[in-house]
Amino acid sequence: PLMLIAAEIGLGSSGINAEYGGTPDENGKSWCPDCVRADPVIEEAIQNAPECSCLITAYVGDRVTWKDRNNNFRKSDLQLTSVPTLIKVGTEKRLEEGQCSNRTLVEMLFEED
Amino acid sequence: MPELERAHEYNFDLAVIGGGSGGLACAKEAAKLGAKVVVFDFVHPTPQKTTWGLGGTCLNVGCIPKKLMHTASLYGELIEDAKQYGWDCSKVGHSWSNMVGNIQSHIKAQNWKIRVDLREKNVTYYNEYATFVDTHTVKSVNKRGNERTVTADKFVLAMGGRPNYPDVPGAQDYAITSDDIFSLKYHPGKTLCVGASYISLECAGFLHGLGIDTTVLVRSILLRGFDRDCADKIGSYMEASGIKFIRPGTPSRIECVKEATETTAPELRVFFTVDGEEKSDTFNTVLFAIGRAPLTDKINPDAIGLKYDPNLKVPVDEAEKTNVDNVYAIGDLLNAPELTPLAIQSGRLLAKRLYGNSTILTDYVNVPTTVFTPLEYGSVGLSEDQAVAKYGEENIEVYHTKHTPTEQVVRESSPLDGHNFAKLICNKADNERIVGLHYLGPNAGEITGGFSVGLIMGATKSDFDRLVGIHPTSSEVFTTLKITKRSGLSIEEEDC
Repeated sequence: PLMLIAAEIGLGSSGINAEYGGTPDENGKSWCPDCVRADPVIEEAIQNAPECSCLITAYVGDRVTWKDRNNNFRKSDLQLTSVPTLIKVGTEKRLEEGQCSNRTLVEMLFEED
Repeated sequence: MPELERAHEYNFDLAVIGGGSGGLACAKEAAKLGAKVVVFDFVHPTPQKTTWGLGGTCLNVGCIPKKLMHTASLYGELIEDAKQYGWDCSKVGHSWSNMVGNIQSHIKAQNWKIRVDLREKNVTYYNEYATFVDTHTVKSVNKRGNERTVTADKFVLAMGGRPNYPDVPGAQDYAITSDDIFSLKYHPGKTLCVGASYISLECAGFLHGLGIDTTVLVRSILLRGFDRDCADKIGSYMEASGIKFIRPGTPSRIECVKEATETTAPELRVFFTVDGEEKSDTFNTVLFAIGRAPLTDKINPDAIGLKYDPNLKVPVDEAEKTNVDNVYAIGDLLNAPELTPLAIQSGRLLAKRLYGNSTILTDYVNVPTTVFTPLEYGSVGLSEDQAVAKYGEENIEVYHTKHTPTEQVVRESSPLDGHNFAKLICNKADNERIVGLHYLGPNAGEITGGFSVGLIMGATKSDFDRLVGIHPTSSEVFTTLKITKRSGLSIEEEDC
């Protein structure tokens, strides 16, 4: 469905990337320290990603909502086990936690196949 | 990790050609010890255009998907047996595409994890085909045809091998190999496996277990090089289970009756010679498993004067060094058992000797293996024929027995019964030291792996007798072996 939506609006022919992070508070600050560290790295890497890449950011909830085992993101096909998680949609490529603030790894994920 | 002091001007300390089990293990260990390492890995697509990612044969088209498909077929058997244990298993079906989809998802996730792992460990990886220019230089090409030149102080050859196609008209056009079966986009349909290798029998085994009409075409004996008693029992078990054997026979040509589509297998007419007579039959899939050839000739070995055998195997000394001083070879390239753990072990130890201060060599003797045919076969050490050849018949004592796993007693008797088997081969001239252990039955890999420690520590028959078995298990059979082959006594089973 994510890929269909993106295709509809003409995004992501070079790859649709999805970033899952902790929901920021009213000051825009995320409760998840790894997400805070990863954000600037991902921001910069997506600027240098192949043309027509797209990045979709989704928030999994505040800390309590995420820790709940019934959290929808945990139970879904995505099988998220940690935040932040960066996934190249439609592939098996994913990076988790500290990997998301590793510039070379993030660039490698955004690369075209 | 502090980098090593470099006494050379090359781009890298170490260049590994081949990103499989051996190559990756060697590269990562070397990097851990401070070496600057590059790995070249490139898969030339099969005649059917199948290709795969980083990780080598084992992960992509070998051990891993094989074990998963073997497991899938065992579940089918267990579901049948479950009825005897009171389960109601009405109409159970199998989806080839679901199974392949899940297996390939796992493999692709591993391909990616390996790439991440190499990056995290600072190992450079080029998805490029490398060939030698001189003893310190390779040229590599990517799939778009872009070239680069890379120099290195030392090289490790770890390209492994690929399946052979026979010189039979239609083979390359219409038939597949183990390189294709694990990602086959359509249900294989009625299948012919050609070859008597463990690859042929393992594939035939799981295909049949998944409900597929399966035939095996064999030139002469099954599983050449393995213990003869065990190979015979595997054949007889597979036949009893409904797998058809054409023996002896050889394929002469393959014709296409109906082409394959994206979602359906082709219809092929296969001609084969049996007793001098030509026969034929139709199949949807023909899988050749007639042997594998190392990729030695593909790296331009003459540019460095690399010595290799007519069968393309690369001779090395005990430290895996080839005839070229700065070039080493590991894994399936060698005249040694073609096994992932052996390649990994030799890759790691080689790196430790090159970049650490180790002197430890890889032990190529007494490497345990398991053949994952429907009746699993685990072995370590020598076969009976090899033991007789090495020690002389008068010095060899063979203890053997049949056994029935307890789990199988609550099940209707069938022609499959009576094939589980255990054998210990002892050297009478050396305190009845165990020189070979062979097991046919469930969980063969788990059982053989454990007992192998005894073998490499020099266990004798009396050590095995001293050991008290765990009951009720299959493994305990090795603690109560009494009957020798020499005695001629029957090994038909008695009750516990």
